[in-house]
Amino acid sequence: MNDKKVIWKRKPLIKNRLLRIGLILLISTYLLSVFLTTEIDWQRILEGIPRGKNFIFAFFPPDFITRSDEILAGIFESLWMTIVATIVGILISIPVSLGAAKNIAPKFVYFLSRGVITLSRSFQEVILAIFFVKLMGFGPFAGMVTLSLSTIGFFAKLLSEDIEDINKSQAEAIKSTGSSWFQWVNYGVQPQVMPRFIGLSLYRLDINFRESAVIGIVGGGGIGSTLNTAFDRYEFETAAAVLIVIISIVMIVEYTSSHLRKLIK
Amino acid sequence: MNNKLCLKNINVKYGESLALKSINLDIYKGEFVVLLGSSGAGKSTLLRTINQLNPLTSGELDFFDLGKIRNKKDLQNLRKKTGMIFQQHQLIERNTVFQNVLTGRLGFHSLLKSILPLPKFDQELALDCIDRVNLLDKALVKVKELSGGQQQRVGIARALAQNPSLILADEPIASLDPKTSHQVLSMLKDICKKDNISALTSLHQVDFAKEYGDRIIGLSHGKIVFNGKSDQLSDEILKNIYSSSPITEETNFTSNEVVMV
Repeated sequence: MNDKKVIWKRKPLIKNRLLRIGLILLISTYLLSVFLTTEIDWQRILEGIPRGKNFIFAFFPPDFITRSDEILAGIFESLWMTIVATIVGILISIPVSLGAAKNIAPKFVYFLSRGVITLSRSFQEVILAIFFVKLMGFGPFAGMVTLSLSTIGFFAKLLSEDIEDINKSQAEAIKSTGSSWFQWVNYGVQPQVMPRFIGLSLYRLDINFRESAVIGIVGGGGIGSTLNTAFDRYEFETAAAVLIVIISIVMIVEYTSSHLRKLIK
Repeated sequence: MNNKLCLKNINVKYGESLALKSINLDIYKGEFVVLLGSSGAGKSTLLRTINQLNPLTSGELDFFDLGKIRNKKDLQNLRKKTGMIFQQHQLIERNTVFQNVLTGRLGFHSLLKSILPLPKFDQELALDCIDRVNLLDKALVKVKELSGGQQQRVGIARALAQNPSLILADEPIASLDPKTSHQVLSMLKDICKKDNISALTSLHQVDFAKEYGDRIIGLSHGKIVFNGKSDQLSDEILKNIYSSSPITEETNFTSNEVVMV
């Protein structure tokens, strides 16, 4: 009988014991000193509370009626912007994502497409929107261009990753039937990424609507502009109404898209 | 005009090592040839070299009435006339049986035409092929919902939809039970005989090979070591085919720390 037990012990991340303990000490001292030196002005926080209360109470009751025309126009502008931008963005994303998939594209095309994606992803929507509003003037067209561009970065990146993950042998069988390259993509690759494609489209539609509200604040038109105007006029009741409308549309889109995605699978 | 497939002095190199060494082989019209050999002997490579899913390093292919395969166009025509059946069926699992079988018709259409639904002729042909493998009632079912034997029959139907001169089958029964294996193999052979299609099928089971093969090819270390009728396949020869297989894979042990307490 052997009463010695063999147990498995996870290897520590850092082998050197001294280094490990030293690092832990160093990090904890740093965190502690950060906490101790951060100035928290309790006075200002206390003064802020009643002001915040007033601000929130100013939202009630939400007023849908007084500016109903502007709210409606804002919603339609935002919806138009969202839908057009999503479609345009996705249409451009399809070739880009094929180009950005390592297993499909030649090296040169791969780096070019990755470049397009990186470029599109490196600017946040608001920054792009400010640029395009300057370029094309106020209104939903600038917003639409902004959203289309940022859709490319999001969509092409995620779709290309999915294309890289396809089952190669299923696609290879299509090649073995004597199909051309485009047929191979359309019959060997496309059906494998279709559920993801639809899922991503719906998800992006959802994101684009929310972004359209933000973009409006910097002049990109849509419901965001309506919201911004309401704040500028100190019409908090109208602003509250706009917020409620935004929240409910986001909820509707969210619910329908998750329901649709379930159906596809 | 040519009524056979000729492989002349085919060599295939993977990096430095030769996977196939000067293969010379003729396969005649309507002949059902079985390929035997241990794992790593080059069976898959040989099959995949014929429709050049693996590129050949040197050598010549002479394909029935297409003649010598010289360029990309020839190769595409060869693939068009060559159905392939894979060990793991390699069907698009999300798609229906009908959609999968229809892909066998792709080579016959231009890109533009194949974006639209394929013509009625092709659709009827596909349905006909599905009927011949007895799956007509499953035509609109997704492939992933079928059993292994049914999936392999869809594979046969897809190959058949190409109206092929040749069918290449890479261990088509390797993941099936014996009874289903018999069903699939006899179905494949019947169809090939009826349509006068040549077939080259790699198998692992010697008794299946003897039962179904008009002719048996034995492959060892990338060389043909036997080429003859099944009754010529003696124990001596079998030993030769399967013995001294090179160890191609090394077992890797992952190192873990064992602590004694």
